Amino acid sequence: MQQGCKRHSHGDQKTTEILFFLQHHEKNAFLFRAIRVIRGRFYSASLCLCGKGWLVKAILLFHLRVGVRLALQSFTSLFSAIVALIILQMYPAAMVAMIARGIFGSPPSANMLVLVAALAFALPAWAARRMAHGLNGWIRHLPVSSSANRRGLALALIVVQSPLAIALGLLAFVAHVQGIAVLRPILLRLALLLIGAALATMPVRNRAASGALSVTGALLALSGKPWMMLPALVLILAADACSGPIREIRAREPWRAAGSFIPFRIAWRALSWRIFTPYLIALLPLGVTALFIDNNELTGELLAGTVRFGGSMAIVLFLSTLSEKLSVRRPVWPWARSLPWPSLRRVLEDAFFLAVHTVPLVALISLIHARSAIAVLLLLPLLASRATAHMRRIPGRRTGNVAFVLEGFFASAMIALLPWTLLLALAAAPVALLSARNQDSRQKVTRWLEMHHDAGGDSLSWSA
Amino acid sequence: MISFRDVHYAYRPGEPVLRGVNLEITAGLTLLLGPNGCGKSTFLKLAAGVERPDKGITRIEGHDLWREEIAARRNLAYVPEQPDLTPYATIKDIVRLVCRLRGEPFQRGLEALESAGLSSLSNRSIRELSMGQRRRAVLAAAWVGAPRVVLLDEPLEAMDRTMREQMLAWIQQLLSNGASIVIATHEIEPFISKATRAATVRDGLCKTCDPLPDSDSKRVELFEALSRGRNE
Repeated sequence: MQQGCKRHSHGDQKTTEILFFLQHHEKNAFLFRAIRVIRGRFYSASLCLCGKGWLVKAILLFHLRVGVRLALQSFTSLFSAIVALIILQMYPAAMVAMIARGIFGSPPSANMLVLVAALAFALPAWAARRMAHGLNGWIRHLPVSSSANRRGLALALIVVQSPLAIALGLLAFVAHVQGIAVLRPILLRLALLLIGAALATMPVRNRAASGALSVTGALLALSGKPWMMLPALVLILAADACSGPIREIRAREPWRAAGSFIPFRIAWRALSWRIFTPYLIALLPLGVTALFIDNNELTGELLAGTVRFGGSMAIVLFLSTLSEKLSVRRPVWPWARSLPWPSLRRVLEDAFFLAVHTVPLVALISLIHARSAIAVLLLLPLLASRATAHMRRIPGRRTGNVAFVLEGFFASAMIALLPWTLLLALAAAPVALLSARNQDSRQKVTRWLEMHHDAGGDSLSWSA
Repeated sequence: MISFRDVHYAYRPGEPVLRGVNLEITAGLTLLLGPNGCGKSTFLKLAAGVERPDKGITRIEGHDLWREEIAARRNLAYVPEQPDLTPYATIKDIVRLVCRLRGEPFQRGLEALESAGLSSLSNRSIRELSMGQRRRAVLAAAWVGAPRVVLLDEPLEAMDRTMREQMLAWIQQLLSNGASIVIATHEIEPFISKATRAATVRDGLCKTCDPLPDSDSKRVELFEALSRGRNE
């Protein structure tokens, strides 16, 4: 490479001398222009053959190394989890054989394929944001086309999946030992799945189109029909072609742990013995539910529905009382909002605090009816998020937390009558959390609200 | 740099405190002057990210305070007039929290507490402290790290002589490091020669005087006029 460059610079000097000579002789003006054009083309061609190729290789190697490093990171946790799961089984060898049969058998198990697909998409999705740091800055000034840079990133994301690829290879070997014919189309199908998944998670300008094409391609490949391979390959290639340059991603600032449960400790200190009052209130609907079941000898779906309603109402009343106490005893701390402590995190911490304290109640519900306790647990993220949002409105309200109780009553009735609405509740939980975040950031925290403030023994408070 | 773009804010609907403020505050000491209730503290709360504007954008060093919450607050220190710390935390809790969030070792926090004369009180909860001690606690938190944007609301109020001297020395050090400092105060004398510009909030709008007159006497005249809310 260095020799090539030396030759290149020597040739360049010679051409410049000739051009200088020709430029100063009017008769040779045509020749001068011709040589200048040829030299321009020569430059492009030489750069392409000598310099650019070398740089593309360098950039690919760079991304490959990044991919390997991230793959090693994911390798530890992923493989530890898988190995732990297998070892915990009564017959680990049989479990491995079952998984191998599920993936490579004929026909393959749909559950196993869904699991493999989920891992294939999760690994590059996890890595893509981590790679975002290196994509936006310094690397952009290098003389490499955006498509080469993008393909380098795609390579890195494919490499990130290598723990999964290795696992699949080992499982293919197990299947082979068991006498299952591991056919090449199956391996090709899995390879297309990995490539499609990597392309789908790429942060590119035309992500919607490229993502849709690559996901469709990956799923077609996974569907297992041999004639689907070609369209799958075409779709994946089309996804690469239409993806455009890598989109600039602003890397998320990492959250720093507040440490030693400081917000929890503050909340506990503020509530003190009052933390037990919400439990007493929550025991009322639970007691009523238990009596109702005993007196009416309920069974089957009627019993489950009753426990779902009673149990979730107990949680609603508990969250309502606890959040109201928190908002009064531990009012918003305005100064802390000037710290690098984002509103989403404050809201998450509060939701987590509220949810964690419902554990004894969920345990009690499970004693009455275990399956219904799971339903109540599934409703908990939504309820905790909504309680956190309402908590931020309590200081300005004269009705306290009544609105939350009404919402909770509606949600409890829905899951009691239509259990499938639990899925809706689960899907709505992130939206509720974002709404709580919005509520938090929109709070007018320094507005004076004497009526609802409890001094809590603060010597400098006007309420004391 | 602190930047306000068309910022509107009202504590209650129909009672605007700020109405379409457009302002950029660069490095140096900006004195925020004006009569009581004109909106100085509200301006600082909006700049500190304590309150969110009803409309408009507030930025710190180019980061939107409400879209890039962590990045914008990373190098920000705010010392409010009322040290509204949660009464159930100890001083040590607060300093530990600030150290963690700013990525500084806890030792720095302990050193800041030592400088603020609070080492012996570090395990006391906030409600056991006097106003002056609470202000010291907030100040110690501000000393953790190397803030580049510093917002001080009546920084010399309720401070004893030693703390005043320490505070002024800290401000001088920040200025020599090229920080942007905004001080809302009625006590103009200690800042006459240090100030780079003056600003005031009047009728919901923010007006700045930049550059300031060279002579101290003319500066005093200008600051007095701004503090009393007189038209220049």
